[in-house]
Amino acid sequence: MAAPARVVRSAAASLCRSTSVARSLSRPSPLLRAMPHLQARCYVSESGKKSAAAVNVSVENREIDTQNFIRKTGGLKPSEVSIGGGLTADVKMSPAAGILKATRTEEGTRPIYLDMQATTPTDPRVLDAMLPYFTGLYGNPHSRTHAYGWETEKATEEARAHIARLIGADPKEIIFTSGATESNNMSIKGLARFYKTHKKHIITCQTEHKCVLDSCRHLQGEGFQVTYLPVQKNGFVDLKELEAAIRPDTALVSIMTVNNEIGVIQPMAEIGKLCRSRKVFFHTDGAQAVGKIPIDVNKMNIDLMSISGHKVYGPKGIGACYVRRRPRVRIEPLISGGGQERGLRSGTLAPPLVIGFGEACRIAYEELAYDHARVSKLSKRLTDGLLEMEHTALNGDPLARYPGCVNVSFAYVEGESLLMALKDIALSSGSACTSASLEPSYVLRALGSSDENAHSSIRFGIGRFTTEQEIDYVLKAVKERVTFLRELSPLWELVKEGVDLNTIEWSQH
Amino acid sequence: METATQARSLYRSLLRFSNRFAAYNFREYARRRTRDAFREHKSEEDPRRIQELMHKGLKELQVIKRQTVVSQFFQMDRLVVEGQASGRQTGGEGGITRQKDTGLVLEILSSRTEVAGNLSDDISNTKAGSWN
Repeated sequence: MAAPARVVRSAAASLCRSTSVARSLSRPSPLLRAMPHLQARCYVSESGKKSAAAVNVSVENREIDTQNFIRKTGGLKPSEVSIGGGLTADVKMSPAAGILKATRTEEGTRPIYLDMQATTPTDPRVLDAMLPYFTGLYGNPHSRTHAYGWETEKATEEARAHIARLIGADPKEIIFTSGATESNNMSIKGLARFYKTHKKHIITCQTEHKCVLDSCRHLQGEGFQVTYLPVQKNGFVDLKELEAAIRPDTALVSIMTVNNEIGVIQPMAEIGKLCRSRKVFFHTDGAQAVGKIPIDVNKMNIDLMSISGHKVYGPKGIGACYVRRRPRVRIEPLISGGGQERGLRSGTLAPPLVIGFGEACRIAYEELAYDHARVSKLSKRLTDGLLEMEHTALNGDPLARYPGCVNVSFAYVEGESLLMALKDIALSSGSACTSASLEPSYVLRALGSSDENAHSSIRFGIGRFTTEQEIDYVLKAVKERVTFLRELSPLWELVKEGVDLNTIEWSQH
Repeated sequence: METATQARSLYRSLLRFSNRFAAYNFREYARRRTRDAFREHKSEEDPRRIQELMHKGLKELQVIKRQTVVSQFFQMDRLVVEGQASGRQTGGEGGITRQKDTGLVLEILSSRTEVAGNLSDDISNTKAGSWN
């Protein structure tokens, strides 16, 4: 079962290598010389070429297999030979073929959506609040001279108040941005740059979202020092390690509230108290937490917080940054211009998005307890059902977690092939940003998981609109497909015979 | 006594309009949320509070009325859990034919004027009937 995946990955690796060799041999092109950062910084390898290569390899494999079969059986095609269970020998040709065969979704149906950490569906009530501002009420909220401006300004200020109420803040402390990524960038880079004369040190955590880690890496290039704290096996930051890492010149501690891949809730109040007592600013990425668990920026001593609109059933393309006013947190704006949003984020607001975001936060505030109870109930049903299967494990702490994020490892099954097999369910093995690459999740690696474990993990996201029926369907489908994929795997045979896989000496080819 | 009748009538219309969401998840949510909200407040005594809740319910009913119409304009294929005749659209005799097409199709476009015309009436009896 692991064979084709390995072939794919080695093919991709050789592709990568050949391009890098080609680049080092040829003289840098004028474009690259003009923009040296293009050479220096590489995020995720391109997915286009890789997937093309992968498809070619699996198709070629299958053709070779089929030809061998026809030669051996004396002209019989694999599709004509039954192997029992309603399956033909086609299935055994190459695992990829089997996966396609066993899981082809019927045309005319859509998959179940279980990836609520990537994004959530827009609530119809949110759309209802937005529509008037897409049609009749099109004024610029910054226009002070006419009624068109006044009416949109009033509505945007109401939206701001709804968002502030959800996190226990003052409306004046909410700055609208384009999303949580911009908020994170604005907080980390803006604060570090403002205090750069005295403070040169930033503390963050290895399991943070890519945009936080990358902002920090960017600041390292500007001369800042960054400490990436390790996490414990259950996903928590060790408070003692954090305290030891704080230096006199530490400007900022940035730790996310709810992890996007494993759903672990960090001890916010304790971290906030520690940071306040050491006079260090505390930033948290609350994109996965706001509207899902109760948050109070004053009780938790949070100085800066990033919020995202499309994670709370609001529209995409809008987010907010909470910037504390008392004691005042100063940041250098990334975007300069007309001085909107207290001068921290210039540019005309998008009233429909802002109002949709505000309405989403109003609903989240009113429905917080109802939604949380419901998500917990569904999550228990799903977790119990999945962990009932043999050789499965829940990643992250089992108690201090947001129940809507369930990350489970299925041993001896490749996560990517299971995702392929579960075509009728929309799932992901990690964050959407890194889902294009075949690398194992860095969050699970930071927890101390082995490569195999990280490769075999899948994240299930439950939300407001998920139903019991869907959970039952998912449980049934996952059980069937995992059993199917394990039956194909030679490793699984060994495990069933009681062989310890660690004692095997693999021969190198 | 009169408020009880009003509340029952509101409950019934909320459920009836909830059924008209074309999207499975929204439809189920609207029905479940209506039922749970009425159950939560079934023993409410304070007349002022009842008035408030009734007002909220009426506002939600307006939203549902508008949003179900929007939802019917932009119909997607059904989800795999919904259970329906599905399969490759061959057009052969006895074969399975698709009940609905994705996105905006001619059929929906042509019915658009009609649908918008009688907003408060049954939008399409067959569809609403099959969901109940």
